[in-house]
Amino acid sequence: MGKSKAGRSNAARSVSPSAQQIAQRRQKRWAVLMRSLAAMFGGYAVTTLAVVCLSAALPMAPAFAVITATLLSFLILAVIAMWCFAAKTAARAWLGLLLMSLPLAALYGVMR
Amino acid sequence: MKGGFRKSMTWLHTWSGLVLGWFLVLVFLCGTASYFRPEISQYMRPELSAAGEPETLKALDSAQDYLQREGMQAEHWFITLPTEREPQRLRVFWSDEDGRHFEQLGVDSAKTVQARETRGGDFFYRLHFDLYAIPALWARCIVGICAMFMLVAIITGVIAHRKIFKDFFTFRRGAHQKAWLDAHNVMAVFGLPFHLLMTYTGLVSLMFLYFPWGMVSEFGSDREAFFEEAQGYSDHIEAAGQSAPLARFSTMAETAMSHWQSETVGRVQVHDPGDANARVSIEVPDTRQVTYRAETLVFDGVSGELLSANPLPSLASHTYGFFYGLHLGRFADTGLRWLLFLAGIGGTGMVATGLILWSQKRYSRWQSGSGPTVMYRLIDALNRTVVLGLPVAMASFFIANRLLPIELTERQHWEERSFMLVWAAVLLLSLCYQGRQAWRHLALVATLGFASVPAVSALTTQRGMLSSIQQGEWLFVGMDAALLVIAIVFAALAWHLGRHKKATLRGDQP
Repeated sequence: MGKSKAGRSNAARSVSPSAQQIAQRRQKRWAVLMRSLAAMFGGYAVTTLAVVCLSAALPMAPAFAVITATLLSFLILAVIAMWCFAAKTAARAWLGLLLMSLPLAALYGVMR
Repeated sequence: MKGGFRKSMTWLHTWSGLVLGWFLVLVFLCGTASYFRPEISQYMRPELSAAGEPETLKALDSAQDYLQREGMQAEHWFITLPTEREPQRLRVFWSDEDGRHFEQLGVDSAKTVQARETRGGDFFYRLHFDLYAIPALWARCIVGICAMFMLVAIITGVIAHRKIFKDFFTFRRGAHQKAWLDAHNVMAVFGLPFHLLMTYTGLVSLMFLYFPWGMVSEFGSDREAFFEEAQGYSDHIEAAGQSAPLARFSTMAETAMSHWQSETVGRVQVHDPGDANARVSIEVPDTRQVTYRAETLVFDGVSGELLSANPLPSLASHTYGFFYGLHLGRFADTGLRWLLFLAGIGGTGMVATGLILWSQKRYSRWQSGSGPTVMYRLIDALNRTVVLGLPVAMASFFIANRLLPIELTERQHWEERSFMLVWAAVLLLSLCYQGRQAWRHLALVATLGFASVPAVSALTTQRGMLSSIQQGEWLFVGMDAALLVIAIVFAALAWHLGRHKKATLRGDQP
């Protein structure tokens, strides 16, 4: 961080924000909330689908497939959560989750 | 846009870190204390010796005699044998229609031994993931969500923090709040592999609670079938309904010891004692390998014959057991254990310095004009309650252990309540009394608290430092010394926090 940047943000703080700035800030926080919800609830749902698919599909005895899939669950969830924040907009994050879950659900339906 | 992203990440880090931080300090600190769970448990039962060598066979005979006298109505017996870390602790557990029974026995007496009622190190161990006064299931879910946030924070932190190595070598000493920032960064980066490992393996240790869906989809409601296949054996069969006397467990343990070439054995479980189909399973000692429950020997309880040796059956089971064992850290010898302890303290320090930083930054802002709002005051008080109040409560838990009357009913609950009441008192005090000096004074209270434990101990028990040295009770000496070192650390912290005031008067530039 350069010194000038720190100085600028300090100056911005001392001036009271305009109505437009407040609205912008509120919008941003709303978007963060929607992304967080996508990462947490959507992420959990997609991960669950991935875990049950892997449990059924991995070429080993069922119990070992379950262990392997469950060990991977947290990494899958972490990647999905990060992706939710990397997506261009919150709506896209939700759309992506939906697109991921459809083939997984179909796959699980076929295997069961 | 890029600046916007970075800014929003900083915002996210500050505010999610704040709320998570309150839980994480508790989880980190109690988890760190749990590396010495058996040592704390013994320290808190000063009536009993903690010295000597573990006598596995003698202890097992004693446990068997006791259980054959008291526990023949039970379906299972669990025997926890002495180890090098707790050479005099022999514990048995069984449950029958009278309820659940936990007893500590004398290694060579087949009788219960009397010590003050206390939860000892188990209190911190349970607080680490079961929290307090809420259902364990909720607590584990809260802790799991925090751990998941932490996992994401660590991975994204490495990606986003491009100057990670440069920052590691930056430490701007002195009274400035930047010193707290640098300490926060150094502890975060230096401990990163440890934090990543502990967060992930912690989640793994409860993974069938967090993601039971694979198991449910493959095995339905038959959890037992899953676990039998996962561990590769079944440790019991249907009871025959005919009574038959048990063979000696110590003979089976001798077979197990020669099988593993080891001096001790791990936990012993007995199924259907007194039945013709009784089974005895003996686990490999925790210290033999990282992997948790790596191998179990199953014996016929009546003939004493070894039926099967059961190493974990697959790479998947091994990996799971390895991560689990890594989290528990029971494999570690004394040197490695201290290293893990210090790493845990570093993790606690990372979160704590983050919370301190939040408060220190706000103080600078309040000094330069705008006063604190009610919410900011509340957050500041909570930061102090968590960072310094928790150690103060821990010290009072030890003091309560020494001072509460031995015959008090529900004594062990009163020890826990002392912890919680002191913690609540610190919160109240923090709400009324704020500012930099409040941090410093609370650090002094922690210093006094920890320093007084060995003193109170010497005054009220036979295990004062000097008499412990004379008796060769090195565990008590070590615990007293460790508590004094902790007191010194808090004294240093109080001194450092005290320097801030003078420094800010000299000028606090952003």
